Amino acid sequence: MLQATNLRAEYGSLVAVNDVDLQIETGQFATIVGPSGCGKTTLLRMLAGHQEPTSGTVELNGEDITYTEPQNRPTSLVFQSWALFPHMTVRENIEFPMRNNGIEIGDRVEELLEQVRLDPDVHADKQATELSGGQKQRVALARSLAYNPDILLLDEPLASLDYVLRKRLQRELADLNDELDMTFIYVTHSLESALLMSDKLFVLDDGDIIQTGSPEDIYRQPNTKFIAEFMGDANVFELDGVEQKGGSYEVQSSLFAQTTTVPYHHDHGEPKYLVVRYDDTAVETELTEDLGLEVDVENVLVRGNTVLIECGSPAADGEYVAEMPVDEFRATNIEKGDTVFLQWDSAKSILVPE
Amino acid sequence: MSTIETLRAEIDALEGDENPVRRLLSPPGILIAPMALLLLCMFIGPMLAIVVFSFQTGNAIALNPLEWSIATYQEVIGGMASGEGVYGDVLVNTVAVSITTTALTLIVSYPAAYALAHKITRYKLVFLMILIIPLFTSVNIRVFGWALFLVQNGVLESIVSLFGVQEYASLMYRRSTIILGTTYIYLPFMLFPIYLSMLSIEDTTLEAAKDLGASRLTLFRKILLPLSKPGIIIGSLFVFVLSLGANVEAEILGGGSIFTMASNIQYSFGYSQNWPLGSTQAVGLLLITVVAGVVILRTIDLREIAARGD
Repeated sequence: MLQATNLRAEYGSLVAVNDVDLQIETGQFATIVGPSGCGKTTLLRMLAGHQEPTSGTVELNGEDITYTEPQNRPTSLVFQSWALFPHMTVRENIEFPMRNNGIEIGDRVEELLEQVRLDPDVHADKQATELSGGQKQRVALARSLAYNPDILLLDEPLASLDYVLRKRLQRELADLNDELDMTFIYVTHSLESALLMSDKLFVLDDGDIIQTGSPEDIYRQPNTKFIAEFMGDANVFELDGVEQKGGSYEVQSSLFAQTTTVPYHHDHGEPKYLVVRYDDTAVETELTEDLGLEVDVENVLVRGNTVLIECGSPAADGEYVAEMPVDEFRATNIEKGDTVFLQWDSAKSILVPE
Repeated sequence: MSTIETLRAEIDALEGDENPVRRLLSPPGILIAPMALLLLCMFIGPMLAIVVFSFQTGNAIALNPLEWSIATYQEVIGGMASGEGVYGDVLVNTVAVSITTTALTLIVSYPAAYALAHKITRYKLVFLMILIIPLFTSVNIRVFGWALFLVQNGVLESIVSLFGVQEYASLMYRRSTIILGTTYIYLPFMLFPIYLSMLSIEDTTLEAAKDLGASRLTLFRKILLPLSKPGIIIGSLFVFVLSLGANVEAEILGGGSIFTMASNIQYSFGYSQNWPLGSTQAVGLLLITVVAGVVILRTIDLREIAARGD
């Protein structure tokens, strides 16, 4: 188990990581997700030993490794730029950590290359600089796995790859985590990576961990408006009146005419916003659901088998989006410029505090 | 074939690569032409003149196409072989100065280049400016400054006498003083190529090595040294070749008692007006330079550097 306690990093007067606590079980795939500049890379570098924390501790299986040098800690960092040694072949790159740690080489290079799905016969003796981005990423991964670290730290290594390749490598990383008894800690600003691969999510904003949980829990019940928006594709309505009714809240807003009651179990204070995901909403010429508002259709974007309908609300000066299956949208005969109802089943609403 | 078609065919033929003038004036040719012209006039021409003059007789100062001789070669090479005359000593001095200067500048520059590229962030510009600004002043001025500092009754003697040292032996007119001079003068030529190759090493590459369990020695031997090798090679070549031709340092700091090939060549051309002798030594110096250059450059694979560029 990896445990960080009150971990803090300051650059002069700037607090990059603000007394963060995190706990990751052995073998878990944990993801630290947050926007650029939220301190996630600094946090990862402290876990890897490349940066000393201003204060706080890092413990691995009960042993304090806060100030252990990177070469002496059982963690391995896969860099965003992969950091392959340009003057070495693929084989030499992978042998490097094995030689440093006195591990017998034997057929291990071939095994590792197969594990990251590269053909050893084709790639082992290529110069590192001759590889494509995806191949470099795989070699960097194999090199980090080569000396069996307890924890593999990944600093957005997929960020610069194209969409298809990134998707595939995400799947492979998740599979690899299942195969190996190794903890993976992945840092990203990309929600799709975070949701797809992780067992546990840490949402980091401005140096603070603002929510921890399974990807599904966080998606279903974000703690804050920031997380709700960051988790993506959500319409946010500010509430004007809230009233507690048992385990639910009766809420109203000047943005939609109806008053509605939504379950809310939260210890972060009263709800301030109502959130509804794009794909839980639809546009119709008549109000047919129990919650909705009148909007003007400003744009219609086809996204594969669904349509994004971008709407403006003249009353609220806001921008809202509905996402519907193509067929359903076509059946409504709604076109750009029409005035329609953007609506949803009130049960799909999520209430969030500040 | 109509007239127009015939004309077009002729124009096409003219525009083809077969037209040598057109090919020469095509863009790459035009771009490189001024440089080629300059090298031809300023470098290859004088070099040829030197080679031609080295085969002239006696104290010729005008080219005499009827009289050719290898007398000066016999004198210089014979002198070196037999140990008579100054040529042997001059050769030893020259090579000793160059090799020692190269080694000293390398030892001093390497850690500094690493620190400047990867460790120092504050005052980095100041350090670099201190290294660059001396290059704005003439070598002569800087070397005379040295002389004023080191000479008897000079600055250094005043300083050491403050500490009660009575017997001050002048540090001037020794080979080691010349080396001190060349080391100082040519330091930037070693530092900057190494600094640039250090800059091209990513911080993450060094971090990755540590992360993968490399000790400090391994980090140096397996990562830093091979990746900074091009800088070491280029810097060594610069400093070695420049030191071979160092005559100001030898003349002022050596004060006429220590000669290097460059100062001896100047002496032959100037004081003794023996152009063929000066030319012969110049050819010798050129040969040493070319051999040293080839040997040094052969230790790196230029294609490897080119491949690393991406």
